[in-house]
Amino acid sequence: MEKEIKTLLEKAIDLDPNLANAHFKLGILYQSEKNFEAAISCFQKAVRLDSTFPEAECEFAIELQRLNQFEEAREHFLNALELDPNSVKTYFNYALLLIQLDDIEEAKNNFDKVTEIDQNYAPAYFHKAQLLTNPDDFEQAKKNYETAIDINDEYVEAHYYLAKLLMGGKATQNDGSVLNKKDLLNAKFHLSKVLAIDGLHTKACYNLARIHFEEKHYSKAKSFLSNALKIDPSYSKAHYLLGRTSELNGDHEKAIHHYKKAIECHPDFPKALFHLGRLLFIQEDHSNAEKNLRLSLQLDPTNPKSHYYLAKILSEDEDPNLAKKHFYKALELDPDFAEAYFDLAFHAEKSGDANEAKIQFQKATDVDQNFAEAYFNLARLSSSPSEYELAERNFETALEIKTDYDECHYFFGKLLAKGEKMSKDGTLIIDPQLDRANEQFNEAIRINPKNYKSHYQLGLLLYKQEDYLAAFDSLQEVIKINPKFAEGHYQLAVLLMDVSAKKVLDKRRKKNRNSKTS
Amino acid sequence: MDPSYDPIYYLKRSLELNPGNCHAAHLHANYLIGKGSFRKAVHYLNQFLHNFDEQSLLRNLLAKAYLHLNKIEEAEESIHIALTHEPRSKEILYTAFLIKRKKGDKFSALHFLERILSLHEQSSEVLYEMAELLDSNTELVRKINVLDIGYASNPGNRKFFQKLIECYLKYFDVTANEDLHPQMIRSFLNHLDKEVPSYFPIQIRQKITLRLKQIRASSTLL
Repeated sequence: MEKEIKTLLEKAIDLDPNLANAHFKLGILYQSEKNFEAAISCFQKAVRLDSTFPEAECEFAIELQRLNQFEEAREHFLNALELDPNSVKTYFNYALLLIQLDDIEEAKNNFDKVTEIDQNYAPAYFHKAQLLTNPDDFEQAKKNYETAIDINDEYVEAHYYLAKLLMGGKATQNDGSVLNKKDLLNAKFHLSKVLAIDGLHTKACYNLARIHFEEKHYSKAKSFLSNALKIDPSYSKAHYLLGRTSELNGDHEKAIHHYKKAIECHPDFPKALFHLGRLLFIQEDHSNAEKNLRLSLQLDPTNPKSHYYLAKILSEDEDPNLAKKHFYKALELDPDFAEAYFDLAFHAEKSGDANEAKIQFQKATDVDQNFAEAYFNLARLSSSPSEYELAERNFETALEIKTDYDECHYFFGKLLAKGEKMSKDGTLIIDPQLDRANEQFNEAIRINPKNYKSHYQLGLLLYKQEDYLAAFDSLQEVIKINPKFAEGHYQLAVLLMDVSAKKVLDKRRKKNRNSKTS
Repeated sequence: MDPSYDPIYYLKRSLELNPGNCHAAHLHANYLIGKGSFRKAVHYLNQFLHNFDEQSLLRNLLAKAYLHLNKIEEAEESIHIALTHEPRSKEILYTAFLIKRKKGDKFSALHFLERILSLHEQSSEVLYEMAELLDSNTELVRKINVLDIGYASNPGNRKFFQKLIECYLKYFDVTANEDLHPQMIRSFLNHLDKEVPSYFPIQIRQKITLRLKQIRASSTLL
């Protein structure tokens, strides 16, 4: 049928080459056949032949726009609008051109004109919504998407972008304060709708997976991601998210596989490079971890975590400055990065700078006031008699935050047992608090009965307190837990060679022997 | 013996696990010396010092073990090394004194005791040893002074007191009346202003009474 129309139109033009309408109609036919070259020539002729032909002006402008001849296109759109100020199509396509020309406000006005004239022109609402990206315009964007969907319930893109808008949820209140209007439930609804209309919509699959991932429904997330990858095996974002999901499910090998796949599909993927590097670091494959983290930093030098993990790897290098540089960079990018202060402190301690270590542990506690490990290590390093009170306070704080911290109880016990303090006039005072130390060691043992070091320290303490039987039992426990702990054996020998202890222990031995005999 | 109460069992196990633990090695060598196995102690200590770092306390023990075996030369060599590492250790200085005494080098033995006294608190044990070394009549005044200091720091020590009084008596015996030092007489009287202790042997008590009478009778002596 179309072929016949085309033949007739060509015949008509042969008979009268000045028939503008015939040229226009032929152009429309070529357009539908996607023969844009022929179409533009037809529209051009139509416009030349009839300067009062708004439809031809509009189509000619559309074709010029397609050829990126934006200024000429704008001229012809304006001609069309002058001839027909109520043409929805012209306003709409002119608005699209204005977007390309980055004249967003004018584009919005033209979409408004479209909807003024035709309140059921769904694409105008949709495209206007797409322009409302500012958090101030959240509600307006949402309304426009919703209207587009109300007009056309099968509008896939409107459903999809509305879901994306709801996933982000960045909005502002009247007073300018930031508001989170995230609505994952509705986002899920719209993405499901997309998939119901177009089962092969990979992005919808991916975004549904993202929501499930955020909601920690990893198996559901995995299922959507698998679907997305079935449709498009080279979808790098899906591989990346599947990697994250696998990692959180504890399957590190699979996670590494998907991170690698994501990078293979899209080599400039800093997040995938970072997570791959981090995971390889956890698996102690430091050389490959370093390689990936460095690549990640090349693409995104502002990721403090990449610097942090790289620093952790470099902290094994002979030159302590290499790691320091990256720790400092991480902290420059994120001054509230408590773990970075914490690990920098360990690094400083390892390189022999205990003072720097203390400063960094202190900073970690400043940033995160519930960082029990930082308080503990700060206390552990405050070992000089002049820092006794500081150490005591920090041990106590760590134990207030984390009561079942056996290592902390153990070190606190050691501090109390040693009892080396400095008086105000600078003289050394030895004031061991054996009962308190005893409590701490017992608490450490209660939390972790297999901590032989706590048993050992308790044994030494009991020996000092002349409770020889209990000391003997504690030291026996030490070598029972760790038969290879030489110090435990040695202290038992010392105890058994002590005349006073020997007397008490012999008594018990005899008593035990007698009870056995009887 | 039940192994769980046998210190040697633990000591050996400790050394098996950490043969380089010098404290355990010290304890072990001490144990061997204590039970009279000096040759074993020497062998063990030499081996330890050959395999691990130099330890002055172990060198000291080695010197002691050699001393027991009467190997003075080896003992001297060992204590010399110990002293170069820790020249102020009371224990090492005391062993050095024992070696010199055994060797008959009274001068050096006294020298080590003096070093101990100058570096550490007054020890009655060291003072007693010093007094024991001062055995000639010409050293009697010094001996009395040493014993006096020792007794002052430990007034309840009968052994000291008896030795001190015996020295005074000897001093009076060997010194001509005109050479007697008034200070010595006064301090002798001060020590015995009350009655003569009954735990002194009868002979000594008699001698004291006699000497006291003699002193009190002689105005020149007083």
